[in-house]
Amino acid sequence: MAYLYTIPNATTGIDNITYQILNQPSGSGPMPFVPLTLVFVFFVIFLGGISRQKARTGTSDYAMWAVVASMSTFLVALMMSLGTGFISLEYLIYTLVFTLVCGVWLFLDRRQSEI
Amino acid sequence: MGTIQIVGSIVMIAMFSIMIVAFGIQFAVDNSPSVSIADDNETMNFYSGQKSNVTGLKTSTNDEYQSIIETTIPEGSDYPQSMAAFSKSDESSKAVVENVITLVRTKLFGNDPTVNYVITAAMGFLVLVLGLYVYKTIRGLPD
Repeated sequence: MAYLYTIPNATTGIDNITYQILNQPSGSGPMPFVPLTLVFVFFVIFLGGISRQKARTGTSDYAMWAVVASMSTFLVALMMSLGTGFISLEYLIYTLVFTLVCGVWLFLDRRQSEI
Repeated sequence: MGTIQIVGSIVMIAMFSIMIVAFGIQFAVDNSPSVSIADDNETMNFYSGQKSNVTGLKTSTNDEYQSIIETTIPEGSDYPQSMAAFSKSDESSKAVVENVITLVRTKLFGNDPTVNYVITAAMGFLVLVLGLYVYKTIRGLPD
């Protein structure tokens, strides 16, 4: 069976599996762990926030929760940048630009009674 | 959305973008990470462009305010002179949004020429809506 990425050696412990997935050899396939982790962080906060706000107040502010979730994701990406091999510059910049997009959405979405 | 609200939104967008990028840069300065936002040239150009736009917005707003308080109404005239209310501020405000759109196009969409067509179509639609509003103001139609 062909895999999209090199299967890690599972006999050396789960920490080594994570390390091997993070450090795929160049050209051997995509590096899915870091972007999927960031997507997971974003959607946990985004979907959790809008669903709880809707349950409490009846309406939910999608733009505000998008900004909260994207800023949290950006902070996680910044923390990942502290170590070598965790996150590439491209993914860090993607996270930054997505945060900016969510900010533009928030500030152009305000109604007259809001800031 | 009124004029004050749209200008306020654009100023907040400028502040937000400067704040986010500055936080990332200062985080890198403090912690010496292996990957830094300051390594990306386009993001740094965006950062310096936004800062100059905010400075330009402040300068032009001061000039406009000076122009407003120096407004005079000549004898026998029905309208004031020397008042050009916020005619120059729009350039900096427009550049703030253009910078964000350019960064999104080059980074998220990989500088794909197809996205240029999408943005052109969207701006053409905005101009059409503006023209229709002007026509509606004069004629009262269409609704």
